[in-house]
Amino acid sequence: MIKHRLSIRANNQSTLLERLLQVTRYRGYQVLELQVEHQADADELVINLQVGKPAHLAADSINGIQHLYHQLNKLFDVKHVNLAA
Amino acid sequence: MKQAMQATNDQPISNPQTGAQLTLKLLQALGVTDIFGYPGGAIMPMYDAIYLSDITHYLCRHEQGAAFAALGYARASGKIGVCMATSGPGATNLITGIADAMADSIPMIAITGQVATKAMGTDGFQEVDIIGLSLACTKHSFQVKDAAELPEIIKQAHQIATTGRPGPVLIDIPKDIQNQPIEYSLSDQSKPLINNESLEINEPSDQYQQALENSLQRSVSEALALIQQAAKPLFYIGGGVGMADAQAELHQLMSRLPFPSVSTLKGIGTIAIDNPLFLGMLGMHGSKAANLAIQQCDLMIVFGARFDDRATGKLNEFAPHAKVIHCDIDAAEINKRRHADVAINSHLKPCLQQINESINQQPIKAEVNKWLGQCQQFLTDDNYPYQQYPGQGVFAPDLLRCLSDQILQQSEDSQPVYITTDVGQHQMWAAQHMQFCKPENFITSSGLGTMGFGVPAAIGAQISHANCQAICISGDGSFMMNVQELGTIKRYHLPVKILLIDNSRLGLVRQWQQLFFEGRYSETDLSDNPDFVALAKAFDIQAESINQKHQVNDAIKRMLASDKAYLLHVTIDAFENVWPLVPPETANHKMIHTISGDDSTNSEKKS
Ligand SMILES: Cc1ncc(C[n+]2csc(CCOP(=O)(O)OP(=O)(O)O)c2C)c(N)n1
Ligand SMILES: [Mg+2]
Repeated sequence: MIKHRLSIRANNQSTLLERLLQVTRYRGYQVLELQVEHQADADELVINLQVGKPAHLAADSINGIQHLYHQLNKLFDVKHVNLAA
Repeated sequence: MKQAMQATNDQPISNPQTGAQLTLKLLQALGVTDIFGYPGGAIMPMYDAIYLSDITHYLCRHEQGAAFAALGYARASGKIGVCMATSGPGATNLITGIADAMADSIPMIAITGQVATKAMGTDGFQEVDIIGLSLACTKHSFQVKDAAELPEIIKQAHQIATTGRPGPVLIDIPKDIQNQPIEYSLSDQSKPLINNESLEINEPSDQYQQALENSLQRSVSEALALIQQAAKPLFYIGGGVGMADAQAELHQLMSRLPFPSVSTLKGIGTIAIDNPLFLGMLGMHGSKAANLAIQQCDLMIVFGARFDDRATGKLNEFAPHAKVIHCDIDAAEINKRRHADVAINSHLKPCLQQINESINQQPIKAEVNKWLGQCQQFLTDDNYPYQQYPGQGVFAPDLLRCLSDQILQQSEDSQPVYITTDVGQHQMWAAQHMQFCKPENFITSSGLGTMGFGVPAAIGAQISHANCQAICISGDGSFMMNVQELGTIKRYHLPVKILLIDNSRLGLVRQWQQLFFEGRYSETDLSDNPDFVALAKAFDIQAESINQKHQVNDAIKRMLASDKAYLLHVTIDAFENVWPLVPPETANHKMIHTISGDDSTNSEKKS
């Protein structure tokens, strides 16, 4: 399993987590770890996510985790995505 | 006579206005003039507001028809399409249309009624979690929790749908919110909302703009360096150029760099008709010339395309010698299926403008001329045998070429013509054998490939331009999928034309069964089709039927000359196939052109 860590800052919306998880699954990753914290001052959600993909499938993709990164970045309520090296 | 009605919760709907009335005013302020929809319990306050609104509502006969009509409207006019439905089954019926908009990047707002806020989550009557269902096929979905949120949500929905890579946005409005009294006044309702100070959309800062321009300039220089080194360059044009309204900029570039070009299904109409080195559509049913050229080129200059599997064939054998310059507004498309040697992640209009500005004295390798000659030869060799069709029956490619020629001849009187299609062999023949001046003239469900798209999309296109000619090219299978929309044509006296190509089969599937399933024709025989002429006449639509090639020319003339709705039913051979064809998971140059025993000699009784 090839693993990656992402941290995400997003609007505090009830649909946010559902959308994040849907995009993650659809783009071929499985959630291995998930932490969500509400930042009351900015009314934002801070999400730490570890995702994985079986190595043989990861090898097929030409830009790997970058694809998921861009897809998450496009979500309207997502303000920032950071991909840990 | 229209008069104020009592809303269901006994609040008078005027003064203060309701959430429903405000929703319509906000849409109107954004320039929305037409909505396609179907009423029901949870959307009744919106329909009550429609009753008194200046927005024109078109009642379709199925919510899927309403969604496709909104798409046809959006694609023909360049404006946003709006559709509306009740909760539960109304909302789920919209989903296919929303998914179609997502796949083809079409700006659309879908409004759904929802059960009242208090009833939500209780499995109420006609309650369905449409937000949950829509997440996979919208750019974004909103559920309104308070009518005070409406101005912000509707502004955002419009902005999300129309900017960046366009797409559909869903707004789910619970019934109590539609009825909620709300104080809000647009300071000047005649002005578009986006010019309204209180709702101004944030412009990016000058600094940010400058940084963007600098990075664009850098990537353009890298692209030009690759172009300079190329011996066999080729333009690969997708639907994004039309969506970015950058057709003129592309034509300018192509006149300076007279390279050969290929187009995707959604890119058809983008490249100038008189371009001498336009090789046609690439991919599974692409032209021989396009597929041979793409496999041999050493540089692909890609604008607004996403290397869809129907275009590339077997990916790791696709254009094996080519470097790639990939220009697209969506960062997620770059490097998704094909590595880009130079990536330009930008709106295509400024991108093309920048390239045009920088290209002035671009030297081109001498070998390029040889390549142009080679592509010219591909074109010359790729002579489609229109005239060689045996017998007296109608040959669909020739029929469509004839339609296309007649339309191009008449277009001098500047009546725009919008062709919509359904999905199947007839769609591929239209893509292969018709010519279009602009991408919006060819409206087809490309990414999702949705049967039932053609008739309602033609309705939307017809409504978007009062003085246009909307023509749907349909198949006998697809036509029946939204046949109820003939009722919409009748209701609004729309002069929509339907060219129904009837092979009594689900032809494209049958073709695959013939080629790849040893002739086991499982569930693709439609020889028990209804009498289509009688069916059209039941909706007061003029109709005629032909089955001989000598009838084609005059029958098309009669259809085009009619100022009313018209159905031309054309019977063709059940075993006609679409050629060429690149078999699935095969490299694009390994096209099949015919099969032994092709076509009508092939017996269906094999199964
Ligand atoms: C909604 C939907 N269901 C199924 C399909 C699969 N499909 C693709 S083409 C086709 C046959 C279409 O038949 P027809 O409309 O008669 O067109 P023809 O190929 O015969 O020209 C089918 C069933 C589809 N594209 N869309
Ligand atoms: Mg058919």
